[in-house]
Amino acid sequence: MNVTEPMFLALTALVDEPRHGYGIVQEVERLSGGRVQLKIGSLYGVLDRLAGDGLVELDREEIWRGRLRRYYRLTDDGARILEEEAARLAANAAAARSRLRARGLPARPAEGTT
Amino acid sequence: MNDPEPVLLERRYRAALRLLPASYRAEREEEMVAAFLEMSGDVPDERGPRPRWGELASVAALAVRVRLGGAGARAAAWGETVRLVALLGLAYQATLGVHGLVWRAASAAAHLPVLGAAPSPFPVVADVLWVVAFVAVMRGFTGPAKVTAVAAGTVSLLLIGAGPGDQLTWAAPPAALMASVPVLALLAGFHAEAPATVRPWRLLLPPVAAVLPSVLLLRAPLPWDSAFEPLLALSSLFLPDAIAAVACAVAGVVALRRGWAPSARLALAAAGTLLLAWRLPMAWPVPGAEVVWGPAAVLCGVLAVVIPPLAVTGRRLLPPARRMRPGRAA
Repeated sequence: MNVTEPMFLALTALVDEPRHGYGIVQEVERLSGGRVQLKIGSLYGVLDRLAGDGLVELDREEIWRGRLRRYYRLTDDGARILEEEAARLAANAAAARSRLRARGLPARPAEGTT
Repeated sequence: MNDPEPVLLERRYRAALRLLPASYRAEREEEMVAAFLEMSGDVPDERGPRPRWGELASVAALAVRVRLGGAGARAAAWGETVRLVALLGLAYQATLGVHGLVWRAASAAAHLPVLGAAPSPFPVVADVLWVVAFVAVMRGFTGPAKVTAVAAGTVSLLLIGAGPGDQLTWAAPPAALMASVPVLALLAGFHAEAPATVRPWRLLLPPVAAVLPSVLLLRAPLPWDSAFEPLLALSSLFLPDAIAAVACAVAGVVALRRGWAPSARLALAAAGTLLLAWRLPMAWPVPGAEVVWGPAAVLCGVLAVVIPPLAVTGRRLLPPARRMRPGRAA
């Protein structure tokens, strides 16, 4: 399946714990260093697709300040797909870095690493 | 739960969410509103807050995706209908494009004078762009197809707007519809979640084949001098738009008799309606000019008979809308 960057980041946001809609938006922004800021309509488009493919599922519902919060969690299938996609991206990145080194350009550290 | 008093921003966001289908809102509206308000923070009504354009655009895009391919067989059928309308519309425009290019090449080869205003390169540009857009979408290159189709539609609309006054009055609205509907259907129907399909090369042939009858008629040794009017009436039925109308009517009859899917019926009904709108100005009775409006009236009559049963049965056979639980895994 084609995993877009927002889908990849939303799956990653759910690895450590279930999150509600705005929690996913915040975590995606944090994970991407502020580069990806999901709009609410886009978020639910992503969640629809992930839920439709069985990669995330409803964890629980809560009422917070009188409003509905639905928490979503990663399924086993979601974890497997995320692992496969991460491996694919890592292989691509390794190939790019290897060729850049061969060209004589110093490889830049990835964002978020020191 | 006790719902908090809605603030102005909430009311405005809920108004935007009405773009979404009612079944989707029944499941998602409350959590979308909650997430949106959490993201927006406390904004007093005195400031007259509105959802940002980006938020509204994301809701509009979600509405298109949900209606044309979201969860449920009904949305999938509507999505397929819109994609078929895009393909049929682009096939038609590609046919006109091939026809225009062939005739211009033939005129140039025969050194025929060009009637009317000085020749402009824009019709050729539009013809080529429509053909490229059709080939691209049929071969699965939907991104380039969208860009090319938007360019083709823009050039065509500019040409329609620059046409002579009488043409602008009668033929401009249906021509503008013909140029814009396939592009809009392409943009709406071929979204990221739409199934990617690469269609076989042989399906690119109909636009070329539809041009052959008019070329063959021109080359045939016909007695134009002695039977000008009957031959003129006959030749008008060999033009690409007449062939498209006949093909649409025949396909419609086959769809009804063989029980084609509702999406195919609805798409043929939509394409037939566009062709009917296109031919209708030509079918206006003008005394003494029966050879011009007579064939057009016959084609309009055939389309008018086929379209209603296609639309009614297509709509009736659509799968029922289902209540969705989008948060749960399948």
